[in-house]
Amino acid sequence: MNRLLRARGLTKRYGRKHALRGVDLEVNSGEVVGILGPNGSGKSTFLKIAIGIVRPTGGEIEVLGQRPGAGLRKHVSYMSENDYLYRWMRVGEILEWTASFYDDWNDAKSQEIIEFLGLDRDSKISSLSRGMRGRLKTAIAFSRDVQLYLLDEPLSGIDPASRSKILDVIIREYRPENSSILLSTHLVMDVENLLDRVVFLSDGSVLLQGNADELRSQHDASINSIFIQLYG
Amino acid sequence: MDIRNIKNILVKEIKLAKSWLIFVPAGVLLFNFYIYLKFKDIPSMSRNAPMLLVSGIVILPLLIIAFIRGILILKSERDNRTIEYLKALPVNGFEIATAKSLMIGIESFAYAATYFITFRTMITLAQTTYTVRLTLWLFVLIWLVLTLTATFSLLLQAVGMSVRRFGRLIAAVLFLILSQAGLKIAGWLDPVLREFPHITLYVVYGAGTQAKGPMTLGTLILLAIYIVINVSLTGYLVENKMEV
Amino acid sequence: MTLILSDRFDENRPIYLQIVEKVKRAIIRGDLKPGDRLPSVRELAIMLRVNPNTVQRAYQELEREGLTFTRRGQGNFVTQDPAVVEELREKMRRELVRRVIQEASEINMSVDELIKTLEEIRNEQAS
Repeated sequence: MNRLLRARGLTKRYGRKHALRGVDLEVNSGEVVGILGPNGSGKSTFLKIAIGIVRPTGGEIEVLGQRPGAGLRKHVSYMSENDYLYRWMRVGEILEWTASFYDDWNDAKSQEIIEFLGLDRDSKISSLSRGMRGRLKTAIAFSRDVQLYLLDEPLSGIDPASRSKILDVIIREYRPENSSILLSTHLVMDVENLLDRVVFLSDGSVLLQGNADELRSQHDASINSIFIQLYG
Repeated sequence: MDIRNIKNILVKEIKLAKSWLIFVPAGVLLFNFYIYLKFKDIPSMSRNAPMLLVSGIVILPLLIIAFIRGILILKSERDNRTIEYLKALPVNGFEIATAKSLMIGIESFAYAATYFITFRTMITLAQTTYTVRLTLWLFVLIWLVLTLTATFSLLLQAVGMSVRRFGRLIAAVLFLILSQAGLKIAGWLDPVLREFPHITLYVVYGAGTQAKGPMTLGTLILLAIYIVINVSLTGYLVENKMEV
Repeated sequence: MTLILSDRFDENRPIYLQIVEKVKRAIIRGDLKPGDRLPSVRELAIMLRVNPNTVQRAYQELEREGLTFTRRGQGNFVTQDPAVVEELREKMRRELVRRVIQEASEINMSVDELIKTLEEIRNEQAS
């Protein structure tokens, strides 16, 4: 099994506040790993470090055998939890503009996802609802053929119809034979059946991690129930 | 540095900067026209007054606009949260800083060109006894000064966005230190700059009275070097210190 | 296969085992006939909205139990051996009844009483 991401003792401090306190985490090829935890547990910070837009204070991280940076971003797809699209662009415009940066952009796939998600290339992004913008972020992330998708809270703050559509895209576009997904969420119920492995984060530390099915058997409970027990 | 990345970012900047490219030059034009109406009697003024008045009064707003623009071209990305989108693209901070500075350079070019053309036309229209010859070098000088101003404020904005606490205060202190240092260095280098070929930067008033600029090619080179330093420092900050 | 999908998962138990059970029931009911092709891993993952790896694991389990077999490049097929299906049917029947007996014993109900009650209910439903 190929190791795509490996973090050892990853630490991030903002002033005196710790966002991550020595996190060990791995992602192997062909698996969907969920970083679970409430808001502020360090999930987003971890993903931002993995993509290289936040620098760790300590520890090591290697993604696809590289240190995070512009070079790595050519080969990894990232979707932020934030509403970070250029609102003055049209849907088609942001797709084309983003595509111009990548060699692995798959136009046919992009078109298919846009249609599946009911997005109109001529709509202005500023006129889209939050759910639609969430769909667009997903479409952008999956328009590329990469080995690793990093999805930060892909479903949070989004209406149920869009959540369901986004989940469908993730399942449709995920190819275990050549890609992996690392996603963070605090909405465990929605992704319960999607995760191969889970990592529970709390206050920047790993509380519990393991194979989703094994955890279900050990605790005789769903991942969602374990989540509620851990943080309740 | 990947040219393709810089080009792609620049394409986006140009799309968004349309209003800056149209409205600022239009503003300069209107303002110059107003000045022309106001100072039709320039010839009656003392010898150097029209030159100082007109050049000062138009270039100052442009410098302020350039300064504001340098801040906004980065600040707007933070305010709209798009800085994360930009940084998550496979580009590094130096490419972002270069593309934004190129945009600033293009805008400054448009401002300088508008200023240059209208200034000349205005003087010529306003009076008959004076002829004004402005060389290409004056244009380059104005262009570089505007670009330097904007890249400087871009750098200060980058500092403000890279420091977690007291960003604005630190940027303000840096503004004082760096601008003073820039002038000091230019002073020290003066003997060296004098060694460079002189550039004919002159305005001819009527019958052969010249106001010759004390500028050498070295001055332009120094300005260009300052711009490059600003861009590099901005690039460093965006790449290494600016967390989104 | 649509019938398999009708009910939701019990999320407290491994999902792959539940997929295995759903397929088994479909085979016993005859919704899946000997030699029928199972949906591809991807198709079923999309239908059930689960991770393809989970479906893959379920298919491996079915194959290990001899209920399905793979043809290279063509997919997974239901076994054509009637004996295997019959054995499965028998096993599932026994499991069900054992479960019922177990539950009955928890409320001190004997097997005889269980049979009696069963017949009563059958008569009620028939009438």
